[in-house]
Amino acid sequence: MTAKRNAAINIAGLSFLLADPNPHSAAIIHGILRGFGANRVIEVRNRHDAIQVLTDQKIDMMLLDPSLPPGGGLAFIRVIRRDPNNPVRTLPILVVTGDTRTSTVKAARDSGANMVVAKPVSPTSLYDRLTWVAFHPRPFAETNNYFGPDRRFKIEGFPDGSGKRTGDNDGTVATDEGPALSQNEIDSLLQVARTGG
Amino acid sequence: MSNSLGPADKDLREADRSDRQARAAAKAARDAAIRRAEAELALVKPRIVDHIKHECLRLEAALLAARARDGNYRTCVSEAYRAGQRLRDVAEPMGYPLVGFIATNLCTIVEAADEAIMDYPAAVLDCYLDALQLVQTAPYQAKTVNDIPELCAALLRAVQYTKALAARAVRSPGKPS
Repeated sequence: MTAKRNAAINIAGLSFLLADPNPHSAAIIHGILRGFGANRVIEVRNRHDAIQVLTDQKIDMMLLDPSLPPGGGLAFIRVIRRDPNNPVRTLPILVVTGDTRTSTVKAARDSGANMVVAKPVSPTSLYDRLTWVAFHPRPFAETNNYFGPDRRFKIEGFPDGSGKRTGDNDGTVATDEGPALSQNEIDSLLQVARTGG
Repeated sequence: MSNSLGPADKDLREADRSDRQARAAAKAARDAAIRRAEAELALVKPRIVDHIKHECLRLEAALLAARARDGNYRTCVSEAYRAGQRLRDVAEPMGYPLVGFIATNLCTIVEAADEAIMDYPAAVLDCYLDALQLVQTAPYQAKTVNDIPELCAALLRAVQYTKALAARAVRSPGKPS
């Protein structure tokens, strides 16, 4: 864990798919990734092009805006995650959004996103979230209506001494209501905090 | 009591030193990557600044049309919301922090009203139109929220006022907001 925490990311060899209908917002993220050393960043403006790229090329990570047409980016994530035969079913997906209401962040998490990054994106915020996704991969969980990274992020022990699954701790994610969240508040919804046994 | 270190203590010290060295290397790599990214952003900035100016005009036009209170009021607010979303995503990192602040809060206001299915608070939208026109003038363009705290605090109070209206509308559905 210490070695992971102290490591720097090297993304030069990775392929990124940037699915954002706003070309100017995409240009900012693209520029930041290029600054980090990414040589291969493919931009798409809609779901159809995203599917085409995912089918034709090897993509290591997708950055996705929830407003991606048609149908929205979160629905697209669900499509990717739910199909057991999809070869990119476990693709790391970062949702990049200006809408940081609790309901939206939770919807992103429940669609199977690995991480939510608040717009406007800064180099610092994106670097730290990419590092988090790279060095803290979460196991994928499958239930009747969910497939994606384990959503039980904040694990603080179980009050009654029994988890939901064998060997599990109980999970607490966040309060249900509230206004737009800061990036730190989003992180607290999405990062592992194991403090209990 | 002896002060000499045993083998286990030496191992711990060595591990601690390695850990500190690794942390320093990672921090240096992170700082360098962030500097390079900021340099890349400076390259794309001129193109996006033109877009920001264009979106500001669209947002202003939509809010002015909304101020006219004609039959297209909701359409105008929707158009203002879309322009606000586009500005929210790009204005601040491109050197227009107050435009970003106004766009972000305007979106919050419209979202709060939409979630509560209530009328848009016209006075609040007018207030944001005035603020948008002000921050596009030369003396305010590069200023930050901290530079004019009184104005920004007032704009945030307008957001809180809208949220209070929205909460009331949710508690008492059917009553005019």
